[in-house]
Amino acid sequence: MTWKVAHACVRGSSHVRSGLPNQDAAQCSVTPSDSGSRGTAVVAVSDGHGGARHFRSQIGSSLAVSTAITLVQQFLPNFAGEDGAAKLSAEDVLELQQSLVDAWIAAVGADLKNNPLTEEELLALESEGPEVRSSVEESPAVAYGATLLVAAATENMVLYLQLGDGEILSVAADGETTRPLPGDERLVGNQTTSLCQPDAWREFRTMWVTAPWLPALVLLSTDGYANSFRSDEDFLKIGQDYLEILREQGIAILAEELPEILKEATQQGSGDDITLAILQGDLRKGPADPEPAQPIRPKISNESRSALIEHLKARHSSQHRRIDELASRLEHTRTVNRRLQTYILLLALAGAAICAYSFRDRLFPAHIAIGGETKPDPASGKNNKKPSPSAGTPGSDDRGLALPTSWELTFKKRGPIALALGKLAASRVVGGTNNDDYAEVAEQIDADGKTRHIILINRSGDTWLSWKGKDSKTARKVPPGQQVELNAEPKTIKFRDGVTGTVTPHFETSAARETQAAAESGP
Amino acid sequence: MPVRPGGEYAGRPLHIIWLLDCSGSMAEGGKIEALNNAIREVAPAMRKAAEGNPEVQFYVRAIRFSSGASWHIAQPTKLTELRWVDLQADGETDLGQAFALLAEELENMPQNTRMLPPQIVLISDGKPTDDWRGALQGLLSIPWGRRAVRQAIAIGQDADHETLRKFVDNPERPVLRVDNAEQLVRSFRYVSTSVTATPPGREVPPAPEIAPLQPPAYDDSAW
Repeated sequence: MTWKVAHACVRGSSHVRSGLPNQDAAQCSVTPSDSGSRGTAVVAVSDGHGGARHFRSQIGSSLAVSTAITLVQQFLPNFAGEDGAAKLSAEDVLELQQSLVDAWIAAVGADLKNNPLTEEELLALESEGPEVRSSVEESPAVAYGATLLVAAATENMVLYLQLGDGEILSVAADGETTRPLPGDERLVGNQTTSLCQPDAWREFRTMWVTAPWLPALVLLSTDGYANSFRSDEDFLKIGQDYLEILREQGIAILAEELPEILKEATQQGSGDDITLAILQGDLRKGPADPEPAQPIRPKISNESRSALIEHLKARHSSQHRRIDELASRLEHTRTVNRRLQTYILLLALAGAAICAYSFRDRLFPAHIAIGGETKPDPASGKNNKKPSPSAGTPGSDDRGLALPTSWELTFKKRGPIALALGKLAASRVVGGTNNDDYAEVAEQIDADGKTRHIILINRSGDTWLSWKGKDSKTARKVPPGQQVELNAEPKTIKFRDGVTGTVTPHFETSAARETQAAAESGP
Repeated sequence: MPVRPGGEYAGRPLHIIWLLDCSGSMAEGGKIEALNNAIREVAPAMRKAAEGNPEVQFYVRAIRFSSGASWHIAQPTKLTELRWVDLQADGETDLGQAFALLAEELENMPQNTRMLPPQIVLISDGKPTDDWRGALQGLLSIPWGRRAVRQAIAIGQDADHETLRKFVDNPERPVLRVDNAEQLVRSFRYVSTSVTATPPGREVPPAPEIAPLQPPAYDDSAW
């Protein structure tokens, strides 16, 4: 068996009298299944608002039902089939709500493009108050304002959506008639929520039920029908009555009679337009019925509930994944921080070590420099560096001034070779064949603890001869273990026969250069 | 002949409630008599207008306020069954008590889409003598109080227009000032028939200003 649908839409008796059009609209659609199952069905009704500012609401309601039928027809196949209903989530329904409103707004926009608001329409609004015209001009969709009620069915699910006033009734096979959707206390008097209001998609009331609690019959009506009855009980009785009519006559005959039934209702009742759409399911009483012991028909079936739970679980686990991800990122950041701390510590230690190393002769005066590893430059056969002309000027050493931190040792045909504090020069420097220590640059502090001397210690077996300056006549013997003082002046040393070099201070820092400059310009 | 599903059909109810000032000052210048006459005169016009609106069931009730407030017509009464008993004027102007009595009634009315917004017409000639502000706030906080079509008629130059304006609380519905018996009848007829003539679902049109702001200087009948 398949879903069956019927609808009728009559103009209100008061609309006939006052010349208002029928502002209601309805549309139905059934899509049979290839596999012989029930297939899908959609019914939609819409009530265009009656207020003066909603002067195109009969178009608005018509667009509402046509866009809804199209969209819901596209939506349903995703949830059709044996276990299709279980896939439906609250998020899917929210998305559908948004699509329904978006599609309606787009359709209204297209209609406005083809038929812009006329001056005549706007002039008629001015009698309603000064702000009415401007409000419609600002938001022309208001002119099309309408409600929307939809029931959508697959073989094992029925989904209800309602925006605004009107009634959706669910009728069980035993005739019990209920409202599947919660009430909305804002729908008082002639007030209603509407497709034309801002964020209208949030205003939908929705619910779905799954087998075996599918209704035998679903009735959708605009408010003109319920308002035609003396009381709510009088209205709810239509559930049982239509069920019996359908069982006796079938839906085709009822569809023919329906306009007359509704016309009588508007004349003797509300005077408003009345629309009724019928979605007929399985009318048979019997095993298909829910157990009578089931006192409360769940609004969400077990299947739906388990689907919802699964969905929540999935969301929960995805949140967990996210938390795990964040935790691992945090751990990574911590690791990086720890590494950075280690690097900083190492750098600090290295800095401290360099400082300590640089000043080790101050800290450990007896200690020594090393050097001589620099390759002699064969290209520069002679000493390009000239001894400072400041030779003989007051040295900086014993005045507490900055001393040079490095020296250049230049031989007649080789050099320069860099010498620095703490460096050892190897035997090869003076033509030796091994790497035995030959000389060492070190710092010596006098017993007063203040005066510093830079010295070149003779670590070799040779006895050196040392001259103060290149032109000095007086040489001093420097036996092994003794030292030559290096200061701001160049010094000539004969290390062994045929090997005479000049040690020239090399100023690196600006302070040192200034010292040198001061020395050069001295008296 | 098709069967008729459902129970009994009925038009939508619309409740009209009059709040009538019966303070001592209404006894002066024949005002209370003019009010009684206006109601008697307008009732048939209301019935006639309502005939063009067969889907609406109109019900009338009335509250009188002077020293205290009470129901003058307690039961919702069909227009065809309305029998007016004359009001007597005496005492203070306890408008706040009238608002409170009305609010209590509106709160008990069913909150559904079937009932049309009620119409409340306030007619007064003086300043309230009790705390009406709190009571008005209470009235306007109730759904049916807020949704009601509220209209006011100020009788004579001593009427407190500001209070009446706050009750109406709608710039599109000015307080109607009346200065003689004839103006009272015209204004009361307008507000009453405009409601009974308006089809359900449409807004009741605002009443035009029909009374001059100042009464003629030598009009003996002016209040």
